[in-house]
Amino acid sequence: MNIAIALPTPQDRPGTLPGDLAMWFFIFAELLVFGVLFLAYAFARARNVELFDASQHNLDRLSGAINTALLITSSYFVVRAVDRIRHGASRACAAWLAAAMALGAAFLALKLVEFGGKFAAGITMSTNTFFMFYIGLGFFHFMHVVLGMVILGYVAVKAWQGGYSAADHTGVETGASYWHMVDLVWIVLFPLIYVMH
Amino acid sequence: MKQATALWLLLLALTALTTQASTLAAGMIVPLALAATFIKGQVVIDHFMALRHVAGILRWLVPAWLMLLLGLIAYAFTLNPN
Amino acid sequence: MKYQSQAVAKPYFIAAIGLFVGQILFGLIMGLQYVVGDFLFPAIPFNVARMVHTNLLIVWLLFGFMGAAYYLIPEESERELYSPKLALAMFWIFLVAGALTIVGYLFVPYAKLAEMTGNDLLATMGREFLEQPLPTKIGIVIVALAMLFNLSMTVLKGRKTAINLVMLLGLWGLAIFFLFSFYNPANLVKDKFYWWWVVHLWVEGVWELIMGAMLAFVLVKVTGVDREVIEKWLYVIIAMALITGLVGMGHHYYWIGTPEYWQWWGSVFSALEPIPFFMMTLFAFNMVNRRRREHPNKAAVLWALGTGVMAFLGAGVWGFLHTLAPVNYYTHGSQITAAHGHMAFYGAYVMVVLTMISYTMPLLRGREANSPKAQVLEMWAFWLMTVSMVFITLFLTAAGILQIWLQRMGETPLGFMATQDQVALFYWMREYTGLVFFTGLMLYIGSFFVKGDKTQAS
Ligand code: HEM
Ligand code: HEM
Ligand SMILES: [Fe+2]
Repeated sequence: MNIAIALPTPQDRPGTLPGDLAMWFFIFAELLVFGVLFLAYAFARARNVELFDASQHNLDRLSGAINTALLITSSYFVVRAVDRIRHGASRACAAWLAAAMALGAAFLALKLVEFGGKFAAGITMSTNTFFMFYIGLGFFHFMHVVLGMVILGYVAVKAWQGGYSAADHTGVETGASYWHMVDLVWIVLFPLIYVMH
Repeated sequence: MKQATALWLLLLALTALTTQASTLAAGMIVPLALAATFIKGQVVIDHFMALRHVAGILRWLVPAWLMLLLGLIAYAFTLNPN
Repeated sequence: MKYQSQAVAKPYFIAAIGLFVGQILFGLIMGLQYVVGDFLFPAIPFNVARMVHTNLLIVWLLFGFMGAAYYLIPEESERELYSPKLALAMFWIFLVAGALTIVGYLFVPYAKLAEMTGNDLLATMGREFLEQPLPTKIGIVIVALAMLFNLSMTVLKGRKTAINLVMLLGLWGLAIFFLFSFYNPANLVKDKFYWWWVVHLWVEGVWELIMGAMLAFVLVKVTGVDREVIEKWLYVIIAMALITGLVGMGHHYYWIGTPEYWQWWGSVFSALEPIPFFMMTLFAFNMVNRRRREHPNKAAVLWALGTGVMAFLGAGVWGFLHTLAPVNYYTHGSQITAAHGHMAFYGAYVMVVLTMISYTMPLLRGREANSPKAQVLEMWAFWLMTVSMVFITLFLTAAGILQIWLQRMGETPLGFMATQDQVALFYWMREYTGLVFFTGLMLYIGSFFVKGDKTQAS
C-alpha cells in the first residue's frame, strides 16, 4: 500500500478512483465473489423457503443489527480519517483509523459470541443448507473484516509516523476503499440472511 | 464533514428500520428491506467510497453490481417452491 | 547473468528438459496402449507407464522451479546465493534419487518396491502422483528444505522485492503441503481428503504464486515496465488465487464421503478460480503492450504470452467446464478430467518453466539472446507443442463427452470397456497429435544447438 504510484487522488485530479487502482481491481473481484455467494443463498432459499424461514427464526437479529451499526460507524470514522489527512493532520487521521479498528474488533467479538452460541446449540454447517450459508458466509466475511483491519492498522501506523501528507495520501484512500467494501458487503448480508423471509 | 455525519445518521436510521421490518406484515418485509438496503448501499458507494466524483465506467461498476444483485435477490424471493 | 552463483540454475534446467523428454515418451507409450492393449506387455504395464509419466512430470517441473529460483532469487536480492555448493549438492542428490526411483518403478514390481523401501514402516505409497517410495519422499523434503534455507538466507540478507517474496512464499508452501503426503490415514475418505492438500493446493494454490513470480520476473526484464506496476498486479493476482483456490478445493469433495456443504463451497469458489488466471493473461499482454524496450529475446516474450493464454484456457476454461457439482456428477474421472489435466499442466506450469528457461538460458550461456535462427526454431517448437496440446485436449474432450454419454447417461448405459471401444478413434488422433508434440519437443532441444550469426554478448 505504501507504493505510491502516480495515481492521483480525487481532489488532485477529479474523475479518478480514490486510492490505488490495483486495490480497486481487487475490490471488484471481491464484490463478484460475494455477489455470487449471495445469489447462491437467494436461489437456494427459493427451493426451500420453509426450511430457511424456520431456521432464520433462530438467529439473533439484534446482534446482527448492532454489528451493522458498528461497521457503518467504523466506515464513517474512516471517512473522517481521510478528511483529516487531506488537511495534513496525520495524527488525527491515525486516531480516527484506530477508532474505526476498535469498532471492527467489537464486530469480531460480537460475531464470535453469536457463533459461539450457535455452536453450543449444536448447530454446524452440516445442520442444513440455511446454516451452511449462515456460518460459511459469516465466516468468509469475518475473514474480510480481519484483513481490512490489518490494512487499516498498517495505514494507521504509517499515518501516525507521518508517512502521508495532504499532497500524497493514496495509501489512506486505498485502505479506506477496502474497508468501505467490507462494510458494503455486510450491508447486503444483514438483511438478506437475518431479516428477509 | 457535516454531510458525512448526516449520512451516517441516515444509515443508522435505515438499519433500525430494516431490523424492525421483520415484524411487519409478510408482504412488506422484502420490499422494505431491499429498498432500505439499496439506499444504504448507494450512500456508501457514492459518498464513503467517493465514487460519485469518478468519471467513466469505473463510476458505475459498483452501483451496477448493487442494482443487479438486489434485483436478482428480489426476483429469487418471488419464486415459489411449488 | 549478474551474479556468478546464478549459474547453478543451468544443470537444473538441463535435467528438467531431459526428464521432460522421458515424460513424453511414456505418454506416447500409454497413448498407444490405450488403443493397442498389449503394446509392450508385460515389460511396461500401463499402470507403471502412467506412474512414470506423471512422476516425471512433477519431478521435472520441480527441477524447473528450483532452477528458476536459483536464478531469480540472487538477481532480485542483488547478492550472490548464500551457498552455491549446497545448491549443486542438492541437484545431484535430487537427480540420483529421481533416477533411482524411476528405475525402481520400471524394473521392480511395485509391491516389491514398497516392501524393499520400508513402506510397512510408514505407508505412504500407492496413491496417484504420490507413488514415490519413502526414501524418495524423504529425499524430496531434504532437498526442498536445503533449498529453502539457501534461498531464505539469500533473501534475508539482500533486497526484498514483491517478486522474491512471493516466490519464496510459494516454495515454502510447496514444501509444507508436500508433508501431507506422509499422512495416509486408513480411512479412505480422510486419505483422499488430505491427498488433495498436496495435489490441489499445489497446482491451484502455492504453485500459482511461483508461476506469478516467475512470470513477473521475466516481464520486468523483457518489457522494462516499471517494477511497481508489475508488483501490484502480482499482489492482486496472488490474493485472488489464494482466496478462490483454498476454498475451491471443495470441488474435489463432492461425493467422496465429506460433508454435503462442500458441494456449495467447492462449486462457488472454484467457479471463481478462473479470475486470477484471467488476470494473469491480461497482465502479460498489458505489460508487453506497454513495453519500454524491444528485448532481443523474442522467443521468451512469446513463451510468456503463451503461458498467459494457455494457463487461462487449460485451468480457467477447462477447469470451469467440470467444476460445478451438478456437472462434475457426470464428468468425474472421465476423459474430460484428463483433457483438463493435460492442458492445465502444460499451459500453466510447463510453459512458465519454459518461459524462464527461454529467458535465462542464453544469459547463462553468455549472451543476451540467442541468434535469430535459433529463436525461429524455438518459436516453431512453441507452436508445434502448443497447438498439438490444444488438439490433444480437444480430442480428449470429445472422447470424454462421448464416454459420459454412452456410459453414464443413456437409457441402456454401456460398460466401461465397451465405451472405450466406441471412442478409440479419438485415442488414435490423440496419439498422432502426441507425435507432433514430440516433434516440437525435439525441435525445442535442437534450438539449443543452433549456432547462427552472433547477437551481442551480454
Ligand atoms: C494450473 C492449474 C491446474 C492444474 C495443473 C490442474 C490439474 C488437474 C489434474 C491433473 C486433475 C486430475 C486429478 C486427478 O484426479 O488425478 C484435475 C482435476 C480437476 N480440476 Fe484441475 N487443474 C488446475 C486448475 C483448475 C481450475 C482453475 C479448476 C476450476 C475452475 C479446476 C477444476 C478441476 C476439477 C473440478 C477437477 C476434478 C475432475 C474430476 O472430478 O475428475 N482445475 N486438475
Ligand atoms: C505426447 C503427448 C502425451 C501423451 C500421448 C500423453 C498421454 C497420457 C495418457 C494416456 C495418460 C493416462 C490417462 C489415463 O490414465 O486415463 C496421461 C496422463 C497424464 N498426462 Fe499425459 N500425455 C502426453 C503429454 C503430456 C504432457 C505434455 C503433460 C503435461 C504437461 C501430460 C500430463 C499428464 C497428466 C497430468 C496425466 C494425469 C491425468 C489425470 O490424472 O487425469 N501429458 N497422459
Ligand atoms: Fe482442484
